[in-house]
Formats: sequence, C-alpha cells, structure tokens
Amino acid sequence: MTLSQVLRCDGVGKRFGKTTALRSVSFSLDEGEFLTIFGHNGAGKSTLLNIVATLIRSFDGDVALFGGSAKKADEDTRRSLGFMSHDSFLYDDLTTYENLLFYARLYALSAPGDTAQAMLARVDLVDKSDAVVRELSRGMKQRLSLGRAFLHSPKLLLLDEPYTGLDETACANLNAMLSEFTDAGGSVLMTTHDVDRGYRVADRVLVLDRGRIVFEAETSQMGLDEFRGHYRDILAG
Amino acid sequence: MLRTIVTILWKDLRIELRTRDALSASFVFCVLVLVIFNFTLDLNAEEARRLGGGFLWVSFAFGGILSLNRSFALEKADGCSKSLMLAPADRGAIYLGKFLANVIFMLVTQVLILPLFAIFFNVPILPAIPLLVLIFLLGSIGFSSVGTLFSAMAANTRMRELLLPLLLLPVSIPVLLAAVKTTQYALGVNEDASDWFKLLIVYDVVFVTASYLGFEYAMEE
Repeated sequence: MTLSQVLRCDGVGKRFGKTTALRSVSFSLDEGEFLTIFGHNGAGKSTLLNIVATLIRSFDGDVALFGGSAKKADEDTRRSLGFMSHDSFLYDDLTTYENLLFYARLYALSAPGDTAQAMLARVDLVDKSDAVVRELSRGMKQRLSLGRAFLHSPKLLLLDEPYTGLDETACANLNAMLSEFTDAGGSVLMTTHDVDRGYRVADRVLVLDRGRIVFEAETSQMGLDEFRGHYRDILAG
Repeated sequence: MLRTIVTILWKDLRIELRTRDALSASFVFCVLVLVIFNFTLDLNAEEARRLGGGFLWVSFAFGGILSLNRSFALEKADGCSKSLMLAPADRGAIYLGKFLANVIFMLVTQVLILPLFAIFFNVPILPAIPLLVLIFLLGSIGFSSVGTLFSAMAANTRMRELLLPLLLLPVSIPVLLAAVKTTQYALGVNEDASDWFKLLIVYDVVFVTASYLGFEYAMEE
C-alpha cells in the first residue's frame, strides 16, 4: 500500500451460504480519487461497500483502510469513513435537525448544534429542520442521508446508489459537494446504475459482474459513449 | 464513553417522548394482566398481599418484553444499527445507553402500575413505597441488562418477537424470583429476604458486566 492509497482490496471474496457474492476482487483507491463501480443487481457492489465500510468483517482476502486491516478497524478508522447506503440510517421519529445533532454528538464533533444546522443548510433542508423524518419525501430523505454521511468530514466516502430519488437540482448539488470533497483530498467509492452520472464524476470506473471485476478504465482514457458500449456488452453477457 | 451513553440515551428518550410506543404498549399490557388476575381470582386481602409480588412481576416481565422488542426494532429500521456500528464510539457505551433507556421505560411503567395494583387488589403499599422503588430499580436493572443484549441479538433474526421471550425468560428466572420474593417482603409477607436482595445485586452486577462485554458480538450480523 503506497502512502497516497486510502484503500486497497486484495483478493476479496465473500460467500453467503451457497451464494458467492464476491470472487477475488482486487483494486485500490488513492487520496483525492473518485472511483465508480457499476454492475447489475446482485453483482456484489453493496457487499463490497459493506466490507469496505467494516460492517462485514468475515471475508476472504484482505482490505487495507488507511494502512490498517478493515477486519480490525479501530475508532479512528471508522471516524474517517462516511457511508451512504440503501438504508437512510435516519430515525423516522426524530426531526431532521435532531438526526444530524445525534450523529454530530456520536462523532464527538465540536459545536454539534451549529454543525447540524450548517449541514441542513448545505443540503437545502433548513426549512424542514423541525419536520420529523417520516414526513419527508424520498428525495428529502436522500438529501438528509447525504448530509449525515458528510457531517463528520470523512476522508473516504462510500456511496451506494446516491442518485436514487434525487431530482435534477439535488443531483447537481450532490455532484458539487462531491467535487468539493475530492478537491479537498477526499476519496470517493461509489456504486451506481446511473451510467451517465456515475461516469462523468469518476476518475476511474470498475464493472463488477457476478462478483468479479470484469472491466476497469480511467475516464480520462475513454469517452462516455465508448464506455457505454462496453458496459452494454458486459450486461448482455 | 459518557458522551456516547448520554447521546444514545437522549436519542431513545426523545423518540419515546414523541411516540410513546414502548411505554403505552408496556403500560396497557401490565394493566390488562392485573385486570385479568383481579377478575379471575377471587382473593381476600391476605391472599392478594401474598400473591401480589408475583402478579406485579409477571406483568412487568411481559410488559418489559414488549418494550425491549421495540428497543432494537427501532435501530433495525432504515439500517440505524449499522450506523451505530460505523460510529467511532465504544460499542459497550452504546449498550449502556440503550440499557439505561430500557431501565427508565420499565421503571416509569412500574411507577404507573403500582397505584393501580394497590386499588385493584386492595393492598396497602404506602409504607412500603421506598423499598418497592428500590426493588423495582434492582429488578429492572437485572431484567433490562440481559434483555437489552438479547434484544440486539434477536433484532438480527426473522423471528425477533418470538425469539426474545424464548431467550430472555429462562435467563431471567433468578432475577424475577428474587424480585418477587423481595416484593413480598416489602408487602409484609416474608420476614427475611436478605439472601434474595443479595441475589438481585449479584445478578445485576454479573449480567450488566457480561452484557456490556458481549454486546459487540451481539451486534454483528
């Protein structure tokens, strides 16, 4: 693992009973780099993100996060991760402000109340600060979930289908936040079905198929149309 | 560590104050149990005093299970338990925050049920209130300590509502037995319950410590 690498996966494999979710997956991610993983449903994308997020600790191979093993991730390593998953990680019966305040306190941020308010403004939910989460629309929930993932200024952001439920304005806002994040040295590992959006924001792309990496490319070396063609061929099997 | 405990406790109390889901379910269940005992058993005052401790703790145990089931169902919804595992916080502190919230919910239910018990069964409780509150506290600590751990384990299964009582009740027999015996003592039935008080305290210490240490593994899926 080089000094600038924040993540390195070496031969990662995972089985759930008789189902093999991942087969010997190896890749790395550098500081400030944006890597998008594409793949159809069941390709193993979410399992891979859960392993990198240290939520699954029993797997084959090794994952190094900031130089240490993900299987033994300590509190400092977990503090450096931001995760936005299919699940919102939000409490339906707390208000938007209370949710962010809770996470700000859990991550021991200084001035948690101010931090929560500032993040509500950043995801354009200030006028909903007193609304309980169960009353929010899907898109608003997704924005709040994004704010939760960004709240503690992680070094590595893991995003699982972040564009789902977002309208055009919110997608543009998300891209701006991600661009600002990587410019400041943050790294992003994202999975998505949205080829156009996922490709445009990435420095590098991977395609997972039945738990294996079957395609890898630098976006600077290949146009979107060319990638779309490759991806279509992979999906067609 | 204290910050994490307070943060988790604040979150659970805030949600309960807003929804009252755990307290209302637990309270209504306890009232129903007492009403059923009251109407099905035609007891005189002396019999009611002798059996009252058992009635109370049967209702508290089953009412408590309803509340405990809710405790981690809350965390499973929308993947919040994953976010707790991801947080840079001591998992034991997360356990203690959840455990304290469960003790408070159980104690509030008990305090609300006690006067109803006195009315239904015509048992004088006023002189015994300080001792009863102490017994309720010790009993709730013991029951919630292992209950919080099992609630976390059961939440990861498909049959959590069924699994929690099946796991919890056998392990809780010593604390429930001691709680009933000490409650009978407080109501003037037994002459000496010092050994039962010791059992309550030892159970609390052992199971709070064991559950604190085992919580990290219980949270793993």
